Amino acid sequence: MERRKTAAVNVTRWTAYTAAGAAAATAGTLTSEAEAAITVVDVNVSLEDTAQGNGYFDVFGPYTFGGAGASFSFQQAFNETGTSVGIMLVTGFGNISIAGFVAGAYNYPSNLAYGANLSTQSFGVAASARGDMAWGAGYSNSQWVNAGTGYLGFQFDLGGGTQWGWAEVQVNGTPDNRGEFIRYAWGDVGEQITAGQVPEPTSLAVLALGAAGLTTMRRRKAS
Amino acid sequence: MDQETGSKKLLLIGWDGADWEHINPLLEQGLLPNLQAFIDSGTVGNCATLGPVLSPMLWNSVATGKHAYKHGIYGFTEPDRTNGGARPFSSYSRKTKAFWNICSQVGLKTNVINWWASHPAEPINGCVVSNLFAGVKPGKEGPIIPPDVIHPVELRKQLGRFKMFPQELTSEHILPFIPNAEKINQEEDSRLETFAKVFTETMTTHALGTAVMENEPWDVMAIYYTCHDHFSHAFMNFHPPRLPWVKEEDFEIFKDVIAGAYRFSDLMLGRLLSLCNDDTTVIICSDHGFESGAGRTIGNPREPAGPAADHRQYGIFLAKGPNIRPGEQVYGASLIDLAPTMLTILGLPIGDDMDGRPLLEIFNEQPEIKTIPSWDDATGEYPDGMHAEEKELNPEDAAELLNQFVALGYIDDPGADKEKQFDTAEVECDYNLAQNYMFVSMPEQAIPLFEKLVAHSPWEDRFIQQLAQAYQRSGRLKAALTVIEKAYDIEETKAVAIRVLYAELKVALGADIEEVRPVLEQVEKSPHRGNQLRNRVAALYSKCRCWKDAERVYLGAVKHDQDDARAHQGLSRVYCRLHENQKTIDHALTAIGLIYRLPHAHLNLGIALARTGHHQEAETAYHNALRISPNFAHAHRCLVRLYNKLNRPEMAFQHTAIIRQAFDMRKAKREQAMRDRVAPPPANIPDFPSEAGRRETLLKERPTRVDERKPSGKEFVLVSGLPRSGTSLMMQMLECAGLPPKTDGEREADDDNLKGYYEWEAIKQIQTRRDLLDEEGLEGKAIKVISMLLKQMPYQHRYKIVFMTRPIEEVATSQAKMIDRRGTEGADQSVEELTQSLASHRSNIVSWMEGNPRVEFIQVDYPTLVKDPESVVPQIAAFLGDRLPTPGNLMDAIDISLYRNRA
Repeated sequence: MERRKTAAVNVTRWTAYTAAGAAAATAGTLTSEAEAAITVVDVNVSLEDTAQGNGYFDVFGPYTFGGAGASFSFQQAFNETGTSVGIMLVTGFGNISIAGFVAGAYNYPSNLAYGANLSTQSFGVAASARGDMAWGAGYSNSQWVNAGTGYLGFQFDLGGGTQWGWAEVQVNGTPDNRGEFIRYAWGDVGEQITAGQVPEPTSLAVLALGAAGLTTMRRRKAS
Repeated sequence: MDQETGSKKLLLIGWDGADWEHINPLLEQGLLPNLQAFIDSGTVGNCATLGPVLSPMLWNSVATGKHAYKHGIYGFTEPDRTNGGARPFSSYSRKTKAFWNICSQVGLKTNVINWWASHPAEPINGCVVSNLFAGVKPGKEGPIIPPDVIHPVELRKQLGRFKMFPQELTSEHILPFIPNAEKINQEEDSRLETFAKVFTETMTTHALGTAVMENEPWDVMAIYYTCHDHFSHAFMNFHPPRLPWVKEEDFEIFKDVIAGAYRFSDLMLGRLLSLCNDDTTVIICSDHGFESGAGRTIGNPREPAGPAADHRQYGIFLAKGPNIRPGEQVYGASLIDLAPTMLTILGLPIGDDMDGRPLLEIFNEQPEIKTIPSWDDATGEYPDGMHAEEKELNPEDAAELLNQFVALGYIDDPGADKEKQFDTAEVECDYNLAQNYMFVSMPEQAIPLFEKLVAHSPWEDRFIQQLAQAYQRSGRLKAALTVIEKAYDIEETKAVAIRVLYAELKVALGADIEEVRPVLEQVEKSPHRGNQLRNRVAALYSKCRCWKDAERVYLGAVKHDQDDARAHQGLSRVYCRLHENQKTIDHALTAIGLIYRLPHAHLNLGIALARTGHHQEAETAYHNALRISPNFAHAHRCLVRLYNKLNRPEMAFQHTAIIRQAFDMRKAKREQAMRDRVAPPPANIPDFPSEAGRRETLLKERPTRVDERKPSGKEFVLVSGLPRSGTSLMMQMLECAGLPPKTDGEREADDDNLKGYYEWEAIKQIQTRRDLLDEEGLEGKAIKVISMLLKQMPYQHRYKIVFMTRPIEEVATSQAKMIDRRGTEGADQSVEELTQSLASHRSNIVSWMEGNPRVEFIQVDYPTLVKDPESVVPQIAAFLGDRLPTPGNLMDAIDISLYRNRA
């Protein structure tokens, strides 16, 4: 997460400004965000299972893109032993696919790095197919068995053309396999966004950051 | 951190001029999310200002917990006793420790950004960026940071880069505040320039503050923003609703600036809060409010600091932190309480010599209150950072700040006359100090100052009126009456304040209220500004037991300003006397909620509570009155009555004894007071010119600023530069090329300028002779104007300036040799010091030319011109175009032998 600290944009603050920005649409001036080509939704849900026993799932979601049409859900389930070793799954619904690949009998969602270009990914986990994120050694190709934060990539079409989105997930790693769903985002039609990308704040919002903002402004001008 | 403290960190954010009247509507619209969250989690309220309402005095009271007569900062500028002229008040002039000195000496890492009169930066345990950082100029290698602006000096480079200049702004920054900015004709309208200056000055402070918060250790952090005040002075008249005298088109262009300023402040606040941890206590305060709505008036008093008349009595106070009550209101807070409150938060003792109180009602758990006699006598384990000795300050460094004071209207343009600058600064300091004495009810100390001021300027009505009031408040009623009868024809005068004063004095000296009623009724009808006079009229009716008249006038004052604490206090007395107990309680509580220190409001509250059977509450109210005014006989008498009723004779006896003791002690005083009432004023009170004569002098001394925004359509060719930069040579060249010089021939050729000076002596008076360039035919001539005069050129004209440069060391040496030869005295500086101040001056002028839309200029390097004219002359010819009939002759004047006096 170190990279986020040095970025010029504080996502949490931006989300707070969205509310102000909405009010500003009627009030007139000084919106703090740019015309949004990217929509970000803060979620901050703990992906903790509460169901006990094999075959019971806790479902988190659905989380929709653009209000309707395409969505995804997380699921958590206990293994056969009913111990704390869980499984984390992600499934897309509607005209959607998840960046990932098929290996053997399983679909594996990719764990994308911050900044990865979404439009160039291979979207191997089809709609309604269960994407297995982690379940210990049983899923040997899973990219989510180590603790840390990563990004899921989505591709969907709500009828207007292809759109891309990402979801930021922090996982505790095997064998715990719990985690936190932090936020997700999607771009307008055709916006080739990158994993973790959020809207550029307006020049004023950048300056309001103070020293960092002034430095960013000058660097942008120089480039 | 070496000191065990009550809370780990403290952040103080100063928002000059911020006002709840502007904040509340924006909060209701959800436009200030960070401030809203702050309010929800903290304690908030009004913050009463002090007198006079001038920011440098107020913010130093915040810093010291003392009134201005104790802290020594008496306004914007002080006489410069070293260099002559005036300079912004400096940290040398503060006579007592600020909270940053106290924190420093106990070992707390303390950082202070942009505080009033904090230059030179004090060497405290932490970091200081002084208020002169605002005057930093751009240089080729980055901003030029004068010495002593930043402590410690190692941070100069790191922090210096956070100076933001107006040229860096783009439309993306401006349009949210001024969506119709493209409609502004910048040739004629400087308001966009004003916006850019205020915005970048705010950003500079914010960038410095955040940089220090992120990169330097801190226990205590204080950042002062001019933002709200400066935006308000420039743009409040355009804030909705539209005032009748504001043009529709101006309103449409600038109506969003004030709301934008508050919303941008909210974004900045969000950033500051994100740099604090949960253990940080954060305080936001403003030193005064700002008139909006119907409170705005056209024009300001014709006096220095006249714009301060727009300042409202209440600023804002907000606090949140680990031990601050969430979602609460604080009542009766004052600026003077800030320092004691901050020390309490930090677990440090309060100085007994401080004038404020800690705001204990804001805390969840009551902190222990510790006191010491005075922090000024206390030494710490660490240095306090107070300056050991006064060093000379460079006037050039302060010049930009002085210009800003002028631009804001806080001081008269000091011009070039140093003697006048010095004199004006001294007069204003005396006036402000005297007003502060009046504010803290020390008229005896104010009287000698006002006497001195009327002797100095018998044409200034403000001095005469204040002197009379000071006599009145010190009980010298006859002297007060004599002064106003000498200065005014009471029947004829239009000075409403004088009519009120006259009525007060006549009644106090035994006249019946009916004798002065016509005067009071006239005052009541006149549309005068503010409530002060309304309240005085009402108080006079009240004193004469005309309760219904008093009620009517006080209610008029409340209608005018519902937050007028003194009007509410007055109403509490009226209703108390009319036995309307509920109304008494309501108005007394309102008054106390606005300003805590109103002993009469506490007393009236107590009386009404006692009458309605709330004996315990009444006892508290009486004791509160006595806490504020321990010898308040009426409160003691009420307590005697209450304790007798409650059958507590021992307590009744105690207060009876106090009354007797006070009575005995006052006996001598009363006799003296009776003598004072009728004592004449001292013999040195001058004979005043007539009111008309005084007005005439006032208009002459403080003429209305001519609006020089409207362009004349004229364009003049100027040759400028530092003296000894080759300006005379350029004049000769232009003459050869067919552009004759404007010269009076008064200064003849000599050894220093063999071919003559080409000077026009009269141009030196351009500051006062604004029509000098209206002379017929001047547009067809070249005028030599030394760089020091450039900024004073009338704004309505355009200028093409050939600006001569020469290595600064050579200029300094050449000037020194010339002064030697002439046997005159120059600046009392070494060549090195001269070099530095000349460099700073030249950089300042070049920035000014760059930023001035009516100036086109070309810089011509003198040595290059002489050694390699072919490389330079075509540029000059191109720059001046058809202003030169025979540009081919430019080179005829160049004589290499003239490039002399090099180091």
